[in-house]
Amino acid sequence: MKKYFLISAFGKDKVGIVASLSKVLYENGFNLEDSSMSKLGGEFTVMLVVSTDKNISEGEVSKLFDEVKKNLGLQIYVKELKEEEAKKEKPKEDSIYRIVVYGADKPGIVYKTTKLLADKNVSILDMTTEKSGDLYILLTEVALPEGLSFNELKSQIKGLQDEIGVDISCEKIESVEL
Amino acid sequence: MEKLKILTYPDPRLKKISEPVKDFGKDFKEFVDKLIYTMYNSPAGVGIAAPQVNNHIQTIIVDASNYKHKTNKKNHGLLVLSNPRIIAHDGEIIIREGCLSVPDYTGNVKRHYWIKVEAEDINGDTITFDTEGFEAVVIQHELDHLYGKLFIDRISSPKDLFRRKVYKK
Repeated sequence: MKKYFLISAFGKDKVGIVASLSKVLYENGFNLEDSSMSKLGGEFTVMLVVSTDKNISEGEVSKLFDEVKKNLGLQIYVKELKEEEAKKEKPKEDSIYRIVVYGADKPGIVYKTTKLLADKNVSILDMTTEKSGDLYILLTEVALPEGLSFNELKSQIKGLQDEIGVDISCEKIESVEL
Repeated sequence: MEKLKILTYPDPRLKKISEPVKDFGKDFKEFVDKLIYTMYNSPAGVGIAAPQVNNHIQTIIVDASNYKHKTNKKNHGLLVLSNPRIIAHDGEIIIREGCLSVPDYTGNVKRHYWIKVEAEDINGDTITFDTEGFEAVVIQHELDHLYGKLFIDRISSPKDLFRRKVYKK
């Protein structure tokens, strides 16, 4: 039976973090199912979903990384996932929208935007924020729940725009099979 | 009529460069009919290139007329284009593209917004026309197949590639 684990790792950014982590996975017969790796500030952060046919525990997976942890000064956490937790849920394609919120940097942009989304039961698929100088940008891809129309979400967002004084654009994500 | 089988990546035949069409005779026209049928019976049904069905000749089929898209303002209906070349272009457009040959992914790809195309029509006569927006994107996507290029080759950043959120039923 296949086992799945979420591995999160981070530490001061340096060359070779991904190579060292993936070497351990490769040599121990793990498959990399999904990943997100990014430099945040001066830290390099890694989130992986891996699978294996071996009957191995969280603690044993964690031990495999002991040397890498020491050599690169990383913190590594391992969590076992059930199979259904490891697979991405697939929302309906026609319910996916991109929202961009931007404006002068001020407290509450992320909180107020995500609070509105949470209150409306809108699920966040992906989110990044960038800050450069005084300009703050939040980019997110969301899935609308059944029963919530795009127009309704848009009018809510318009309210937010006036409330916190940012610009917001929101559009449906369409892909064309060519 | 039966649909032709569409090659899917990682089939190496998708990376082969196609040969110019010189003979516009009966065999060619029969093949084009099958290619048109295959295109119309695929999910979006707006474009297909001959090498996608393992015939490495420089022919593409495009029909943007039935597809609703905000940038689909003008189109030429069914186009059968052989040896197509873009002789002028202007502007930029980004559309999230998928591909019959790359089933599980979509990606944001930057293309020319306006293009002027020269090509041979079904009878081998040279035609020239210009187009913009959606139809221009479809032509550029299909033309890439003739040179072994997939939309994945055109993705500009890792954030521009997406795993398809819904698999086909």
